[in-house]
Amino acid sequence: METFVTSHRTVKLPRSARSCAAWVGCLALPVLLAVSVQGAAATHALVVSGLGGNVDYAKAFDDAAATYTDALRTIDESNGQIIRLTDSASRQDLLSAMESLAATMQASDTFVLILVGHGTADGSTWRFNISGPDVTTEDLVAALNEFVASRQLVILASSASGAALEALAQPGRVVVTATKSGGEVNAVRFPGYLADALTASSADYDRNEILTVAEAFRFATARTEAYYEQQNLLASEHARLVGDLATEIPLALLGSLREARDDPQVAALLSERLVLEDAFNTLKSRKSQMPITDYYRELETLLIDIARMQQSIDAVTGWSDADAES
Amino acid sequence: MPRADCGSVWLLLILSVFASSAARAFPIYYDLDRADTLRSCDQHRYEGRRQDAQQCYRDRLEQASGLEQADAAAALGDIRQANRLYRELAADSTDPAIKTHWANLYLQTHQVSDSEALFREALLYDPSWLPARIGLAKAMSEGFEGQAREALRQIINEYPENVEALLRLARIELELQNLEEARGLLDRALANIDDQGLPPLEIYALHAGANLLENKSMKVWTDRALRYNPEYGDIHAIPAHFYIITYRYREAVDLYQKAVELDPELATAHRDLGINQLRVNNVFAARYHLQKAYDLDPYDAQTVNTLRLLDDLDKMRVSSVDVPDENDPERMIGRVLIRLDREDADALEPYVVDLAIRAVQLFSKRYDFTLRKPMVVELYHDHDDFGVRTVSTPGIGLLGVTFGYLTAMDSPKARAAGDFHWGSTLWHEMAHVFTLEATNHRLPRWFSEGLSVYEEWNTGPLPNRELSLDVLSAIRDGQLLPIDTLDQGFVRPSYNGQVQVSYMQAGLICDFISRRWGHEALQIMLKGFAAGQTSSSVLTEAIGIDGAQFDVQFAENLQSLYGDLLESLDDYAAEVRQLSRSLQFDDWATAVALSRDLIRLYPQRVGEGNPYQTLAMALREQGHDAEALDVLLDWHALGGHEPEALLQLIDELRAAGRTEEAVPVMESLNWVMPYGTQVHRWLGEHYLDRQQAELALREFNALIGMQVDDLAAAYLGKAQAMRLQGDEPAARREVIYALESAPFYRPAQRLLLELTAGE
Repeated sequence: METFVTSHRTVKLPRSARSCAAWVGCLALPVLLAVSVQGAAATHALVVSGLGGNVDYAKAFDDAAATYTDALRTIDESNGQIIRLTDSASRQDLLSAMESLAATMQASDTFVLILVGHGTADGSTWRFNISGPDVTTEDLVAALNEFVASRQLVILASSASGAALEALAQPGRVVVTATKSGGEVNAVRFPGYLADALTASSADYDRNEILTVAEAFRFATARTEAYYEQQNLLASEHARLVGDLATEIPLALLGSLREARDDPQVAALLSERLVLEDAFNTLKSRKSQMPITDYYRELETLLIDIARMQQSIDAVTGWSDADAES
Repeated sequence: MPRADCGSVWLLLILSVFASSAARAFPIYYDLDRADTLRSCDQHRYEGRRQDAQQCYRDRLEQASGLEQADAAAALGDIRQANRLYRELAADSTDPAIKTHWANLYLQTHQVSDSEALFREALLYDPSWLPARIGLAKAMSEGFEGQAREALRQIINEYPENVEALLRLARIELELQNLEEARGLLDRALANIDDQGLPPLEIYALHAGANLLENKSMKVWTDRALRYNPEYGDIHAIPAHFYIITYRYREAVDLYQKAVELDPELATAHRDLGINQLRVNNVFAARYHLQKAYDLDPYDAQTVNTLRLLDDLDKMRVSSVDVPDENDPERMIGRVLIRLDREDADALEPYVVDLAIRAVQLFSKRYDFTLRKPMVVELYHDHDDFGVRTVSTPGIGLLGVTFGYLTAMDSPKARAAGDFHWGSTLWHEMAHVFTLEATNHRLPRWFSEGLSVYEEWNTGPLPNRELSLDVLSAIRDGQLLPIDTLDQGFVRPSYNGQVQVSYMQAGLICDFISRRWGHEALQIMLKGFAAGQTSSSVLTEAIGIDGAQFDVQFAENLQSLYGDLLESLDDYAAEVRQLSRSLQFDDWATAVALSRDLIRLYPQRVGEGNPYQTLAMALREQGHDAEALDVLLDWHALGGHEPEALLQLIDELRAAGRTEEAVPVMESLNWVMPYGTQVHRWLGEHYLDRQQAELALREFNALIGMQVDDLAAAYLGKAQAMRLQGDEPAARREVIYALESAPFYRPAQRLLLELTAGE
């Protein structure tokens, strides 16, 4: 399996990685639209906030989990199930929810698991702090083994979560951890910035109004690093991402797509936009093999078509500059 | 003594790594305790009979024992064997001669501080041991230690015929350009060499150096030296040093070239030729001679450091800008080559280009001089690289240096954020390019630095002319030097901080002259120095008074400017301490009162520890946010540039909707800390709103170069700026780049459709 790991130290991804992050998201559009519009495949998700230990942390975890849930619901409210468990949930509740979701899923579906809260690690495993006995890495590995969904995303937005990275990684699954190892035990800021990413259009780097895991991760790691720099603190968390589907799994729809995702007229136009985007991505992939003047001439033609198509979509959705966040 | 023993062991370890080849200088052995047999070998060497000398040393190495044998190994360049022999001799001995000779081996191999330690050990055995006293003075002199001069004077008082001490002191006096005193010392040395059986070569070379400083022909001394030894390369290399201390690097290169032609194995000349070729931007020739020097002497740190730097230099990004005449944009008045580390090139380049254009346009007029070749500007993100570029040694305390057309300095990344105002430093250095080249480097150090400080204060990007409390104390305590000897404050400082005091004094002098007699007086002085006149005669011609009269008027001017402050300087310092205590106890009312009083007493103090920021903080604590904001605006207007405070000021002004006032603060911030993407973005958008396309372009170029996350917005900004300039094809290209990065970016899509409408 070809995987890539991104550390928070790399605020700006290497040029090649940046263009990949910005563009492969477009490759996923047929799938995304299938999920959001045609109903052929579904996104199922389980979002769990763990024990806070004090009011501030409890609120922060709860707020972040609520944001994640709301964002995921913009992708698929009708077909999939988006389940939210709060800090009163036990280990058994969590595992039962996973079991029931696994039972309803098909291979073409996407499954998203997000745990936000405190975590700890010892020499043998990572533990997620929840009411009653903790959930361990082994619990998660066993529960995830039951899922047939070909695209899976696991986000462990907690301290020490890097300890679980290796055990959870596998083909077809993207794993995001807030830390690089079990040794980073301090409370983490990454979950809050990840929540910010899901509501900020500035995290939508390619402006296609589909926020992918890769984009959200890039945004959140950059903000986390900036926080430590601004505070003049030694960074005590280094988020990690493993998996080659990060640019294909959406976490949220934004702007006009979110507003009009159930409109059949928009859906039809988006299908046409997809054709243009495919052509765009094909052209980009041929860039290195083409004379540069030919490439940019063809690119300009295509971009003009995409722009006109976008104007048509905006005319239907009623999008205006006032809707833009940035 | 245990401590001395430890030192010896450490030195021994360092020396033990030496291979068997040696430093290739042309040593002259002045020590009179040297064995007569070796002195006869030396004489072959002095007179150019190299092979005979080598054979003679080899014979002594085989036949002699003790110090003579070790000295023979050292003379042959067999450093490892010499070190072993000295070490064995020193093991059971308290003879200061052994330590002294061993220390000289360290000097020969460029380990000055280690040699100092050994000389001091020798003096522990015998405090009056003359060779060790001279050696220590030599070592101190190599390190530019001001005490060397006093030590040598003391030795000469006790031993007026000591040739080595006379020559060493003569060198120092020449560096200080005390030519008469130097000549006297050289004559005294010359009168003694025959009796002592020593060669006159170095005396001739130093006399030649004195001639050079007096703009006289060196031929008389060169001829005498070459008659004595036709291969004596130092007859050119030693005077070349005096070109360097007077910034005439091109002439120094010519002399070093002659030196290596006479003696192709003179490693020190190859090294200095390489270093100075680099200073005049002849990188290829520099590499050749440094490599040659390395082959002859692989242990010279200056050579090794500079060769390493050359490798790094290849990795830097070079760009160029042609500078148009302000009044006739079609006519180019100079070209600037900019060499930047790739790591921060993108953030800096737009600003460096902007400042370089302004500098060339302004200084060409102010100093009536047009660049005759491209000016080279280098900014290093590693301070040690800059150190090597400058003096071939890392760890220097400078910010920037100019070698004629080449300026090298720290980039803002080389130091902690906000540690220095890099724009001012660059402005200062670029002023040097003009003043040095307009006079072919024939101006005293004080005037060169003074003009650059004066330009910093009057035309530079930072309107700040703060004198530190240390400088004010020096003024109060009468520590300023007369104008005629002000160079000594730069070249041979006699107290801590005197160099900085001298910079400020020189700047104040130029500022005073300009205010009292006009900037034209400075131009006249520049021309006078170019013609070889002294400070006093130049002053007389430009302003009608000599140095002594000027000193009186200058002192009166300082009194009028700073007199009240100088009189109350101790009270001021006490008030600063009182303010510090009030902050410790959160006594904001007292802090406000004290800060206000300190500002009243010395409003220009805006640097570290200034009362403005303290006042703003105290006012905020009292809930007077608007007043605090105004205090910080005053602070900024006077040149305050601490980055965190500037950022806070920007945020507060933007939050208050006072964008127009925030813009100059943002500009200031970029001259201190140019890596903040948000500030570049704000500025770019602001200049677009104001239809100031050129400035907007500068900002968006910086953002694109820094590869910010939101590249699409930066490219769009650039496209909009280019459209404002009427360059629609370029705007179209940039908007395509924006959409290539983010194809659904609606503002860019809209611009693309506008630009292609009707096609």
